[in-house]
Amino acid sequence: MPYRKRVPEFQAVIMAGYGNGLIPLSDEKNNMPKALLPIVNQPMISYPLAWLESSGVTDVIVVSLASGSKKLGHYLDRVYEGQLHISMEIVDDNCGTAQALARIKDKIKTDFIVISCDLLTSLPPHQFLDMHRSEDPTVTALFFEPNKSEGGPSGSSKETEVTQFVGIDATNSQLVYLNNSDEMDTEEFSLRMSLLSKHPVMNISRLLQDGHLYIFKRWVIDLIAEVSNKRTRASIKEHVLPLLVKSQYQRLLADREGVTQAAQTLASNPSTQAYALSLSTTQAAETTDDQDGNSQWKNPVKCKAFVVAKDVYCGRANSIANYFELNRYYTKITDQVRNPGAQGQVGADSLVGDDTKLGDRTSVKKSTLGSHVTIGKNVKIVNSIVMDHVVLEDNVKLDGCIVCSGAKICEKSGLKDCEVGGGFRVEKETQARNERLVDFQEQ
Amino acid sequence: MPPKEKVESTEQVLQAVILADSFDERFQPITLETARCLLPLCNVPLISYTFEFLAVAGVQEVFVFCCSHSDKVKAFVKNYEKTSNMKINTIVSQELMSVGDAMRELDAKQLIDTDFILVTGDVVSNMKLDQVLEEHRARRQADKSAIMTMVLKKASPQHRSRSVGDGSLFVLDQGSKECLHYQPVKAFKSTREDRRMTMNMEIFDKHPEVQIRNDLIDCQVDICSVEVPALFTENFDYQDIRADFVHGILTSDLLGKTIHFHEVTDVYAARVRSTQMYDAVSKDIISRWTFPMVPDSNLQVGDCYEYRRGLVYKEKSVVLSRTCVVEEKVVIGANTQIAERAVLSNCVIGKNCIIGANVKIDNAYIWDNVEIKDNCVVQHSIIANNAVLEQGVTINKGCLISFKVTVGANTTVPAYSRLTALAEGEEDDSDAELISDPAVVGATGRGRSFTEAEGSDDEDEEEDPKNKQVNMLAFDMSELLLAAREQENSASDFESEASDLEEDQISPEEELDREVAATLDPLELNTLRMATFSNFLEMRKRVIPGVLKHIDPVAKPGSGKTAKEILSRWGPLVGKMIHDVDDQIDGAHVLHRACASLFQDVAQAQKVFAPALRYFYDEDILEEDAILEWYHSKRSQQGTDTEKKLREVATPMIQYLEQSDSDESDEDDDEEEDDEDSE
Repeated sequence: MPYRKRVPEFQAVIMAGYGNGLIPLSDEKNNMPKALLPIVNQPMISYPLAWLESSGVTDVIVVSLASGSKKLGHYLDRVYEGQLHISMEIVDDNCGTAQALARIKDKIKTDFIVISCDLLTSLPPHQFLDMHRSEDPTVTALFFEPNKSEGGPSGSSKETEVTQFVGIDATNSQLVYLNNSDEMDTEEFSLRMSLLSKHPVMNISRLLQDGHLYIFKRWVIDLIAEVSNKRTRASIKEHVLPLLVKSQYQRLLADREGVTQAAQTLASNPSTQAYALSLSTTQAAETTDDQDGNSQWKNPVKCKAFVVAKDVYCGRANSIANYFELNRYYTKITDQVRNPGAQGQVGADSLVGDDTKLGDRTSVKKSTLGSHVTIGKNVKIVNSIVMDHVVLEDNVKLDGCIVCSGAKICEKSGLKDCEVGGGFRVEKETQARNERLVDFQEQ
Repeated sequence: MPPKEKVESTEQVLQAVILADSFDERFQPITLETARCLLPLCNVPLISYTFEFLAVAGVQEVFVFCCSHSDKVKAFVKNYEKTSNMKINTIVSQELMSVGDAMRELDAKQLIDTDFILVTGDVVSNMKLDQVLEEHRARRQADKSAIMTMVLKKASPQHRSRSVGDGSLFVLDQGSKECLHYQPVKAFKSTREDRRMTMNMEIFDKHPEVQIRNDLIDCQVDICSVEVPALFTENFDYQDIRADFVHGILTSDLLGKTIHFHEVTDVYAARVRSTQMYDAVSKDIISRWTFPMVPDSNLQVGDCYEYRRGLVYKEKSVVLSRTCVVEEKVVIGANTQIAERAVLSNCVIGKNCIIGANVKIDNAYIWDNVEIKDNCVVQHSIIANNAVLEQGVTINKGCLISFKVTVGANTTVPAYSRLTALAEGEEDDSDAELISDPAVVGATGRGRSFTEAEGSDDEDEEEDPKNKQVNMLAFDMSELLLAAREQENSASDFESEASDLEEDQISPEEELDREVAATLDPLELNTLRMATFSNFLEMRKRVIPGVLKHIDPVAKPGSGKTAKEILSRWGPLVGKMIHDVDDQIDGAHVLHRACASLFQDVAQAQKVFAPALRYFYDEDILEEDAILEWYHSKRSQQGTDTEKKLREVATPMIQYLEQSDSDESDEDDDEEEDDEDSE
């Protein structure tokens, strides 16, 4: 046997998108790209990086949109201290996730993990990876049930929430059904009987959310490339994954969309485990009994769903409300020094960054304060996120606010449930509620 | 247990209601002469198993509802009660036609004052109900609207004790144990509704996480509250407890009642609903899945079975000859004699039977006092009391031989026959003489073959006959499909023959033909139809060719003669002649034939046929199901060369249809149309 170079088991791709749900926070000119938004004073992307590092992955490709790439590149080059080999790829702005992956197709050599930069979870990585290892599916996707929000800024953009209907076979956690509510009949929910006879126990949930964490087989990258050729702004969640799910039982669709063809590359190179099983005398031959008469058809695709247990924390910072919620949760459990200067009244569930000055009679509750923040006298901060280099003058009251870096709030202002854009100056004695305070030109 | 509670629990008498009648005809002709619940299952009357099951559950009072052959049931129950510590009441009502009627009767008589167990008289189960009852009562205490708890058993979808034709699909909420949706599953899914599970979207508002189950055996053991009979009275159109009652309660916005479920595993539960299930349950009893309800526990007074190696159960008084072979899974009742060289396997033989020499019995159920003479072969059949098989008779699989039938010597009874010795127009003691049919039972035989329609006023005529056949003893799916196809063929042959005849003889028909071609006006056509007393079938046969005649395949667009123009002008007229799916299928056939006969040149015919089919599909005159059915029917596959070629023209369209049928969402449909166009 010839000498083989060690190939890592998985490559990881972190998708660092623009963060449409986080405007105005994720505006690069005034603040920072989504991937660098602080959660407990750590850039968001550091969490998936740490998660990957603990999973044993060594090679990571960060795919960033051009508009946010400068600051992110700087962070990864200079600031990031982890052990991962990170290479960064920059793609055009109007690029769907599938398209972005198709661009870096040549760099993918093995089965690969795709993770979003906004996924934060306390799930031990091995649980998720082991499912993929033991079942050997085409794709393993992570689903979680979002935690209930405790209130706070919901983001002025009340986007109509598209719920997903996720069908999972309860016996083998196969992902069988996936549909978005906006594409469905509003009156009736309907499934094919043949699907139900193949998967007699199926859980259908409307609560589960796609965690944007997937493990794909290597050959899927060819399929992704093909899908992104056909569509503009092709996305993994909306196009690739549903296609794979459907291809499990719709032969004609699989043939037409090139799934079968893409999967055949796999057949010529069967995994060692499958080979071992075929030699085994105790393993029953896999039979795909099919009433529709296409029993000869060997299903090319198998999708698995990993559902995060309810007591394990998992969340995505893809909207302001979720970002806020994640920040609050991680503030609560962080083991950083909560109040390094020991000044003012700081609640036990709050965090104050380094070199931050608090004036007299200032109280901070349930809030996260960044570094180099200057705070005047008699300031009340409740339920808020204040990023680095913010100046809060005397007698300011903040409740449920997110103040981006470099902003200045002049004295006697009272803000409730507001977002203050980067570098914005709030004039004195402003009273605002549920508003988005940002520079005019970017609206 | 504290004493106070004890007092309470003794006060509350646990009641059960048994619906002894099955309200169907699956066991006919045997059930013409006795009640379904008295049929012997492993030599014990069926209802004994139900009684036993209830007694184990701690039921103290039982009400047995019976309708047909009530005197026999009554006599049996009276006798049974002597040995049981349950109080058993029989309620006879001749008017009962359905479960709904029985429940209304129950409500009218006000017999029940607490929660009760509702079962049918054909349940065989060894499950314990105490936990279910406890759950139900706790739920009732918390929430008065929880009116019913269904007991469902988990099994795989293809489990043999899950009868093929009577599947059911449940949508459940595992958190609250609530049943949210119910849908029956048919073996042959002929319509689009049958092929899909459809439930109301609103369910998700209250229950964001649901579980769809297609693996449960529903043996209709329900814990009902007193409201259930009352609700049946309120909704007088409810007939079936599942299809009407459960479905009605779950889809009603007004009632606000809920139905819960209890899932059991690792116990046995099944209903003897059909001959096929009779077979399956018998095997399960012999194989001891139903323990403690097995033959050697001697449920019936006077029985004394002993259990031998190889799942053989034998009474003491059985006489086995020295050279007979009793293979495995055999039950032999008292005083039965088995002669030399007889071979028995997988069968149940009743009391006082005489089995002759060289007889081979496999998979058969032979009831009491049956005489099977030498050299007979019996396969996979049921032979009722006092039947006689003379020498050399062969009974093929799937037969039901009713009481007192005699099959003459050396007769071969074809598979799936049903023989009865009751005279035609029977109904009990009428004087009508039995006219034996020597073709069926041999020259010396006594009996005739029984046909389904007699004595039954079948209310669900719409049901696919194939779905009925599925429940037959020893049915075989592949065979059934084959048979169905042949039937279809012969039917269509007959039909075309008949219409040929008509055309030869009756001149008004021809006249009609001409007039149709001349007028082509819906109103006039309708009057014409009435005037000549023809039906829509005839009209289609004439109108479609009439329309097609106007098409000139070589005409240029704009001349008003192209297929498209003619069709868009006269297509809606054809639509008026087509009403339901059968009409559509027939319409497709007529179109096919007409194209083939009108245009001699194959290419021309194809040019007309393809757009016509497409047009009818687009206008929803022919629906996708009908076109598929037409395409796959044998009738369309045979015929002249032209017809065959025409059928080929339709192939891409069929592929497209099948494709779209297999597609889950509408989202893909647009693309498919693109694909189709490019093809």
